[in-house]
Amino acid sequence: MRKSLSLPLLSDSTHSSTPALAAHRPRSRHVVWSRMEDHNQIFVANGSRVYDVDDEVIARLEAAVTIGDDAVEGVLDSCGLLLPRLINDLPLTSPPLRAISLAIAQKCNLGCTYCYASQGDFGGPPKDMTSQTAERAVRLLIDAAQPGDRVNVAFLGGEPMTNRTVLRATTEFAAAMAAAREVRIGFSITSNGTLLTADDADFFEQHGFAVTISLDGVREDHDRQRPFKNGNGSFDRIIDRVRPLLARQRKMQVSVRTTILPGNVLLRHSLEFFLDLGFHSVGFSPVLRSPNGHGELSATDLESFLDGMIECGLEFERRVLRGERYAFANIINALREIHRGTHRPYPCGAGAGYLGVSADGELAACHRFVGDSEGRMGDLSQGIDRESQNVWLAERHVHSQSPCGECWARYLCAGGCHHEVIARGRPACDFIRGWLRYSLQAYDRLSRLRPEWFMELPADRASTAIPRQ
Amino acid sequence: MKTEPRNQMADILHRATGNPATTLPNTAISNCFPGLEYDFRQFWKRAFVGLVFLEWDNLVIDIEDPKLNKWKGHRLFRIAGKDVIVPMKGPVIPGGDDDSLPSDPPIVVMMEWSNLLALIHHRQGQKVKCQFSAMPAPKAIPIPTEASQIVEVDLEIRKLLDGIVPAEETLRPGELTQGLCSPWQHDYRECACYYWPATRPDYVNVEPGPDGVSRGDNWMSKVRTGEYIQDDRRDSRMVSYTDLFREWEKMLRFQIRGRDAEEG
Repeated sequence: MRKSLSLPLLSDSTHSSTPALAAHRPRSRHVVWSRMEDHNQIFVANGSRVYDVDDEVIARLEAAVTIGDDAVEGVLDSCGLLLPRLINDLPLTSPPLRAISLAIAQKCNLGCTYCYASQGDFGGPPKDMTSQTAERAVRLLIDAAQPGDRVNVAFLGGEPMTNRTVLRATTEFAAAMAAAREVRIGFSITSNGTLLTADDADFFEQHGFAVTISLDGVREDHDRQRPFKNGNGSFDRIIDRVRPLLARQRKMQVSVRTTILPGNVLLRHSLEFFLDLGFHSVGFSPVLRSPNGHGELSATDLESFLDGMIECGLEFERRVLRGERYAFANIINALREIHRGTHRPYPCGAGAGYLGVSADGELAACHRFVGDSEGRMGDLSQGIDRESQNVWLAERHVHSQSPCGECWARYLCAGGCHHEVIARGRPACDFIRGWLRYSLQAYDRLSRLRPEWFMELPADRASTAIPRQ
Repeated sequence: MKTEPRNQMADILHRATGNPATTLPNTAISNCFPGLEYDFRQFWKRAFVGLVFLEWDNLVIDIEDPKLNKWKGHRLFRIAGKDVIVPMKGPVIPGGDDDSLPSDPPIVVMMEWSNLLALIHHRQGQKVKCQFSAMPAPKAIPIPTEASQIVEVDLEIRKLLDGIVPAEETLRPGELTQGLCSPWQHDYRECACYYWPATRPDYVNVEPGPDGVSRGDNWMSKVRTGEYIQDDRRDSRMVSYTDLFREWEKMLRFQIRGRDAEEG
């Protein structure tokens, strides 16, 4: 069994920030407010609720916040917005398995220096998952499902296309087993794109894959960050290989995930380049932790990144108002969650309804914890180690995280990526709050000017989700 | 101080001015009976375009589309392959195995329709395959095993919700609240210790007899005779729901150590 974690969780206040980012430090754990042109908006952490309020409420909050959070609670109570806590301290226990990722190939033909998987092999010898191991993992998933349930199988690596035969056999096995059990199944793959073929496009379309291609910007940026192991650039090759997929996508969705390293901040240029090529959506993800520290963003980098994200967000708003499609995944997901009022005790399904499977058949909290004793949760021969899982779920609950208890964004962010936090603490809290405050303002504008956009928003996050790689 | 909800959670948790916290959906008494806030069974009543079901049953009681006239009085067994009713099973003795309760015809439970509301909600506006009894069935019957007694038809599921608000076409004005129980009186009479922990004794003025058998009154007996009367809501010797609604303060007596307190 995995031992209880005793990690020195770093408070974000111990990290350096910039004056612009520090402006996003929370003034209250309960609420954040903005004065808009002719009205005021408040966001209440408990239940992730958004309200318009009059000037009197804001004046009282401004006064209360200088006294403390008890006084802020009093203001919320007096205007009818104080509710019993909607998320309690109880951790999830032994949840049903709903999604797995298969590290189908723990090897890669690229040599990205920041890779969490240490250039694809997770720091060990390169290896492929056998079809027997993959089928056992699929059985573990589908055996736990009831007719009508929805499950997902993700292929990751390393580079999963280096083990195409097993990938295809496993997909067909899983599709047939799910159909026989009346279980609805989805497939996804995250690939570097260099090995894709036109035949793969047909296969992915047939099975309705959500395909995510890692492209770190346009040619120069991408080639600097994601060269082949021999140092040659990979950009032209990927674009060439991915075109048949872009042309074939109907059921299939082909998206871009761009990893942001220091200096790589031409977000809007990359976003529009990829959308023009025909990608379904584009999302950005900053490097907050890499095995050797290479490429991790500093506070100054995060400030530039936030500026770039907001620039893309503002363009998204303009396009939505014009009725145009502009699939900037980060803002779409943020708006969806704000619109619903998503409030959750965990940032993702890792270690809960979602587990990663290593090439050897070990179970891990997610694809990032493959081969890492920290997130180990049993193996395919013994099944899910529920004891380790429940220790994990108790420790990873946002109420167990610091300094999340002091932050109004705690039920939207839910503490951030476990893998990054366990290794590096929380260096990006100010950035996250800054992004959410912008997103709340964008919500305010769009929900007034284009309310129908929210009615058409797909209920399924997966259709525009950008998985973290 | 004015506040106006802007997102869905704020809407769902909105507390109208003057309403207590107990009027929020997350404090609802969720039971097969209507809650204290609104009667969610009304969503079932017109879940299918053209048909009206009894709100707690699989019985078609009215028709809104003449083309579907033939289904009046029939019973709905399955929606998209899912059973609407299930046979009642349970242990006959404490700790015993689950088994069908001895009854002819077998007892069926109608509550599965409420478990199917999620499926119905997911398929709003779509056509689904529904299976009905081939003949009218005024009394509840189990799902027949013979295919000839079942008829399949495609029905359109109505739009139930518009965002988070009930869709206008599903509910008539007043329906959402007309079936609400009078809260505490109803449960006070309904809940007995063999079913639900009651806040009062079921059996009062109990005297042990020399033969080892006790004598006493049902708490609902209007006249205390020492003769236990089996509950029957139509029996005029018992306190009725209406009595409790109208003059509970006259019908109920304080109980001290299991006995009626002296008047005054």
